[in-house]
Amino acid sequence: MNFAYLQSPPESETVVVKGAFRASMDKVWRAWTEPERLQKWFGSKAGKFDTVEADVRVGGRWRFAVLEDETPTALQGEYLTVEPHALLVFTWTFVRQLPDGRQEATAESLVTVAFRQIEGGVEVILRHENIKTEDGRLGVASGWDASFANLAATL
Amino acid sequence: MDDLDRTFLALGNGARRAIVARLAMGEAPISELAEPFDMSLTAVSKHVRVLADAGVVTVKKRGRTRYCRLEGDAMHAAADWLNDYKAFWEDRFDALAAYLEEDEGP
Repeated sequence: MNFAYLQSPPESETVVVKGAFRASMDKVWRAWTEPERLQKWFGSKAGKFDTVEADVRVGGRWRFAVLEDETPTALQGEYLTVEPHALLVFTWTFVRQLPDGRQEATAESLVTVAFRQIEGGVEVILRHENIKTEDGRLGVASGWDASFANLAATL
Repeated sequence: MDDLDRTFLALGNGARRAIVARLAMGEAPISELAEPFDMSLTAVSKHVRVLADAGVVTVKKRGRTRYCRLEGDAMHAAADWLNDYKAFWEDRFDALAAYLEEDEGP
């Protein structure tokens, strides 16, 4: 048995995902930074999110919102670093509006996306870190499940 | 607090994670667990109790010795939880690759 997360600091786990895309750097960058393009892949083909906002500049906000079983939910955050064709860093929070008016939100985690030109395309390395184990589950339990169901339906 | 909360709470301590890492290699008497950590048997017993309450380990007495072993289910639930994040991004990357191929524009 090998549990990689036992090596990371307590209660702040990191996930790393790497991909190579056969497309120009410009096209890959625009897919990450233009709302109408983001919606086409990030929200899955079914267009899961009703609202997609991405004000890609340092201090700008991003927000992907959808009604889930009549409950308003959103993934949202702020851009901390924007280096075109190289680096995108943004915060990440999952928010859910409860029927009694209260708002439930996960602690803020951090997403770093690094873009690198490689032969025949672009390599993208994504780190999602500071995932707080105490309440990050909230986002997984609702947001992700719905997302997966949505994705499965499109396949 | 649900099971997953308890699991992560139990693992949110360096000494307890070291104990879990040791138990991943196989069960051990509690007295043996104390040795590499320079901890008193009392301190180790306390950590083991927290882990046992969370369902991460079980303690069984055979003769005069108390043996501690790792319980796979709680650990797998914790690992699955993190894998969901990874799976989420891997799915997004797949969708991005599909989108980039579909989109013929510049």
